Amino acid sequence: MRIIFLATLSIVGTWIILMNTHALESIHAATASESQQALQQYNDAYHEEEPVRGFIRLYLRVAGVVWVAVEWIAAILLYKGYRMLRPHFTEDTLTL
Amino acid sequence: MIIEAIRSIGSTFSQEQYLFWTHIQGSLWTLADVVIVFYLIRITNLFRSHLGRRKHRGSYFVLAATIPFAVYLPFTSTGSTFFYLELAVTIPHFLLLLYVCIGDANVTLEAIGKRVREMNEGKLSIPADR
Repeated sequence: MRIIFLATLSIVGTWIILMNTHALESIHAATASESQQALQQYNDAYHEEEPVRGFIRLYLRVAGVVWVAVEWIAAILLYKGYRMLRPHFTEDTLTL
Repeated sequence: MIIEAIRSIGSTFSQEQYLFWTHIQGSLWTLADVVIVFYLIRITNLFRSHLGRRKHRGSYFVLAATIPFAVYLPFTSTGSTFFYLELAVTIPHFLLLLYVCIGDANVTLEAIGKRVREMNEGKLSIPADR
């Protein structure tokens, strides 16, 4: 009697464990699938926007070139200004 | 139409190209910054020495301290390193510009005023070759 009881308990226990494992695997598979799907959507959206980002980089580059030109014009003007002012003021010497 | 043009142009301008040209561009404007700050200090030193005031010394040292960073700038490997190094160079430059422009505004006016008075009094003349 006891053996039958233990055998039944073992079978039922094993069945419960197997069912739970199966359920967990199903949940895991579903989650992984959703994660993959979300990642795919993210990647698609990212690549979709890549040309726009490229255009922004191009805009920043062109703006940067203008800025470099402005800076060098200012630098040359300051150099010319210094050369122009120097004879009119006390001689300045770089003593470092 | 415009969106298509943006996509067409933008797709040929990748992040790698952006970083490559950023190195060149950043080096060019950092060099321009060094020249600007250097000659601004020299001009204000002209005015200060004309008024008999003590000339800038520390500003030259601060400017010199940024030079090693500026030299290393084109050789940075990542965008973030470039950015932080650029900050280490441009922030001292910007502070120097502010310091010289704000601190020496009166000196500049005084020196020019003094020079004009001297010219009117005939103490100093404009050099002949100018």
